Amino acid sequence: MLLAIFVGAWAAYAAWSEFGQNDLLFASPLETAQAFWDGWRDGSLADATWQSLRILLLGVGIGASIAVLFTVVATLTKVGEDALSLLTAIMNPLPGVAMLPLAMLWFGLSTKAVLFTLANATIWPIAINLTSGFKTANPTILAVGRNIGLSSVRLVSDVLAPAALPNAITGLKTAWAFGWRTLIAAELVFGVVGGEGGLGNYINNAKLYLFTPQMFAALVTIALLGVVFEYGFTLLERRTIVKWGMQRS
Amino acid sequence: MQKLRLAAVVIAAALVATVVAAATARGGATALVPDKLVIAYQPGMGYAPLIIMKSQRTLERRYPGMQIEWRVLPSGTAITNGVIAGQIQVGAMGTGPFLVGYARGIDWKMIAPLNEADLWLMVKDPNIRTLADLRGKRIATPTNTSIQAVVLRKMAEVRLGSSKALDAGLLAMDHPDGMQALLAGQIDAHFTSPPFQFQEKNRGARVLGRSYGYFGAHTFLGAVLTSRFYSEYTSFSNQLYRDIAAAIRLIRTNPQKVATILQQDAGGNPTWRQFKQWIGNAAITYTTRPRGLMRTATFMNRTDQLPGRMPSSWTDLVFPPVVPTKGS
Repeated sequence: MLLAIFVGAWAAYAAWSEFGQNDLLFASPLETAQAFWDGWRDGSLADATWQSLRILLLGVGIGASIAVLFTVVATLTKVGEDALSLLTAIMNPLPGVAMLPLAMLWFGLSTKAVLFTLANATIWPIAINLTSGFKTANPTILAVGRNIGLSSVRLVSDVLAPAALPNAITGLKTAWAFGWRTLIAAELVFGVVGGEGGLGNYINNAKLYLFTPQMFAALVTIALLGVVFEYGFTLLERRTIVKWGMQRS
Repeated sequence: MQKLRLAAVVIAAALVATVVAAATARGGATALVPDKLVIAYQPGMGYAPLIIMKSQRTLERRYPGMQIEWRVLPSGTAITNGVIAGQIQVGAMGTGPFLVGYARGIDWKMIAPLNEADLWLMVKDPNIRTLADLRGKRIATPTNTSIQAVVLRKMAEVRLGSSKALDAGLLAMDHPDGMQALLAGQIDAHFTSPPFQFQEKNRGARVLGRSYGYFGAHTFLGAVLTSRFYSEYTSFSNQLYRDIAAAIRLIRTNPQKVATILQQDAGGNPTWRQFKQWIGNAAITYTTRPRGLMRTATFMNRTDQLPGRMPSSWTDLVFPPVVPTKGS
């Protein structure tokens, strides 16, 4: 219902306002739907989406692995803990894209630079959430674990990790959101590699040739992907931490 | 009787009003100038006619009340967006973005072409000897629709059999960044313009291809107005054409002075000696005569780079003052 009103308002704006009537500046819902349909049918939008998702998954994957490593080291050693809290305090407030120019300098104009930026954007939110998950683990259960003689590694894998699961999922959710924004922004800045461009690049190219409906279609795609991922995380939570009573739905 | 008199007064008043309105309208049409004028161009000595006008304050002195702003933007796309949004009145750009804009329905034309230029594709790696060696390599042009990208596709079509053969490696960089990247080895080739191609050559890069070899002598840059602006401020626009033509004459008659102006505008480096030498280089010719616009447009259209409206003749692409120049 709300969606219908929204699309109605959009169509009305496109039809009646002077700005909305300018085809080079504004696309109506119908034109957007047309561009969306064409883009998916001829594969150009699908390619761009796949390219973006591939890099995103790779980047977040690298970031998450490093984050887990950092957190485990931080939990097991005092120096590691201090180092991680210092690093997160410095790096976490930094917007991910801010690292892009430096990454371009270090890795050249390549996917590597984007991956580095992405990994950097995802490490810190995951690390913060995991650390707080480990810290808030039930001390009684931890003490029981120590009492029955678990090694530090098993303590982490069998006691702390399951206890920190809700935080881990929150961390991943934040990381995905950060990563997604960083990636699209990076593609826009980078805006470059003709053959293997993602959605940001698709938007840029549509802008070059003044195909405004295509820009709108790419934005719709990005928004839809956001909804899908959000739903995916909700499902994951429902299947795990809600079902196991660690968090109420 | 009173009614009649009233009617007479009303008719007389209406007549006076009409005459006054007509007079102001006609007076307005000749004297009308915009309150505010934003002129946008890009880095490079190709924009010298505008740089000369800026430094000599030609427009500022002629129109004292006008709020005039000069802006240097990194690409024709940025200027296109500014023109569409109504923030830029005079935009100077390469023929690529100009033709794309025209094809996509922006109602604009050239008020004055600025020059013809032989654009060079520069490489530094000694292992790159032919265009075929650039397959899969990184090639920077100002944007994907730039005249450099268009010429690169023409080269790819002629030498490699497909206009899209090198598209996968295209990067968008403005000229100064591209020059740094080429010299630092971050990219493999840079398709650029004067003076950057001269500077790159001086610093060890080689010329792999020249645009004249594929398109003949062709217009490189032009100053563009919307038709709406032209019809509203016709005499102002025609004067703008004459001012640009005068600046171009100055480049021919007094290159020494122009070189000094360019050095000043560049902040002292390159020096005027360099600029003077470059102005004399055959790779750049300043003229308001358009050449090869249709050849460029036809190629772009044939290779899907010009989706939309095709001009039927070069005169569709220019305003009346340019028409007598016998362009193509």
